[in-house]
Amino acid sequence: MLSKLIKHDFRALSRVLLPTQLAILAAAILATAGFAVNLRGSSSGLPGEGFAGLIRMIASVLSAVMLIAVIAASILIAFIIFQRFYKNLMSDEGYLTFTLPVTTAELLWSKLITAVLWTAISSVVLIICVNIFILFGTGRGFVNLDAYRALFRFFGEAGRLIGARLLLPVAELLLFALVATLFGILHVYLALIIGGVVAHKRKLLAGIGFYFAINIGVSVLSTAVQAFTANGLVNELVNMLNELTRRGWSERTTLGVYNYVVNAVQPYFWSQLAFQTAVGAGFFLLSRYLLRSKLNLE
Amino acid sequence: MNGPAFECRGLTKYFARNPALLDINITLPAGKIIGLLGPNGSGKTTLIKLACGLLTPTEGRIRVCGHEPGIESKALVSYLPERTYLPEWMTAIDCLRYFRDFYADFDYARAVSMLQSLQVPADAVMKTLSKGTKEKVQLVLVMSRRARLYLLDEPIGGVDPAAREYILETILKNYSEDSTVLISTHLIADVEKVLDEFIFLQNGQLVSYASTDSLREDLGKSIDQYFREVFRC
Repeated sequence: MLSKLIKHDFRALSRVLLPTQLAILAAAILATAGFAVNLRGSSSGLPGEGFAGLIRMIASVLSAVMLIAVIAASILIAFIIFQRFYKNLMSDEGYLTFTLPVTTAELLWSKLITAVLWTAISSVVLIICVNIFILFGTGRGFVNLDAYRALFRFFGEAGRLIGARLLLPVAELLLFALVATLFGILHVYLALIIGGVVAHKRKLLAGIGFYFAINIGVSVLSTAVQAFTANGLVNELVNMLNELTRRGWSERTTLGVYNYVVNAVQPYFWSQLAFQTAVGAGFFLLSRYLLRSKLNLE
Repeated sequence: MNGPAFECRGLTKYFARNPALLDINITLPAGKIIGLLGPNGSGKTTLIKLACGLLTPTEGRIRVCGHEPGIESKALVSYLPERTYLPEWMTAIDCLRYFRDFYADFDYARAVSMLQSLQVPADAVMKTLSKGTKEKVQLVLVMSRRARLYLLDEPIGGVDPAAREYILETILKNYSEDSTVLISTHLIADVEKVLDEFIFLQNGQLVSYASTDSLREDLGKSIDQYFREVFRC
């Protein structure tokens, strides 16, 4: 049943989010075109007055407006995901959702997986937008490959010096991004559920209130966890910098510094990852309990 | 026969401090069409929603086809709420496919035929349909299942008299030894002819539960007449 729920949830979100993503891409292309026209006009000595000036002004306004549109649409995507969750479970649609022969856990997993999938798709679209901007908006010619050449050169040299261990922070960052996304989504879901279950009126408003209340609780806990790990990390990094200043820099020290920093960050990274995983699992279990045992669709 | 279709013991439900149901004890057999009757605010919808698992009892227990409300009971219960619950962006055919995906007992061909009989445009988006047509779509979905227990909350309240006839016929066609139909309605005169039994609720309490035949034989009254006497304002 989970796959069927995911299929329908994904379809329901795609109906709104697919056009939104296409609009983001179109806005990014327009922003890039506007920026490119302005940049090239400026570098080729076109006057800032008269017709050419008007074109440049329109191009720069278009570029700014489209950039704002890309940012606004990215925020809108999160709003749409959470609105779908609320509407499908806590409004009249809940009468259909909660009478399906599926478990509460399946309902939550479905909503979580589709939200993560769409967050990933949105991230890929944003990366594509940034690349469109770099490729076509920033150079003197039509296509600018300088930034990519520099990036490849940097990673080539770093790879030669550091080896396969270069991939460790990349893998860790990806893992952290996934866990942080899951954590963030579950945080909002739990707040909306508590608002829906506890409040008799203005459930959505109550949900927003509970979001901030949970946020305060999590921040206090997170600070307590960081107090154990972050202080040690800062001390170690300060010691390392003092040592480097004393000894001077070489290619050998680059590898040493890299290994030192990566090793020093490990306890901090894993403790934060474990913290977010544990609290996220708590959010999930509490959400499931409330929907299963305290649901009151009035 | 697999025991009662619906059973509750000491079932009580409060909304904040207001009692909606008080100590209800009732056992409904399989193979009957039963009217759930009572004035506004008597607890009819609350009882049905408790059976569907949409509300949690304050006290007491409830069993549907031998199960507490949950995944097993939901596979056996076909529920028609008193409100429109279908997503506005779906078409009627989308809704049929949705039900086919989730309910093993859903008869897709029968649902398509019922949509045609009720002259519901299959490709029209819910948002564009009238309230009455949306209710027809919901009824088609609910009655196209081969469920053990049908819980119908005001199934004919929002439709025209011609459609009422069709709906009541549909309910009768689904009647079998294994399935029970519980109909909550204000339109007693319209449904009376199809009812085997009736339940009267008032202020969250059970006033009476009897068979329509015994009412006619013992008191010589129709349910409509009896209702007007019991709930006279």
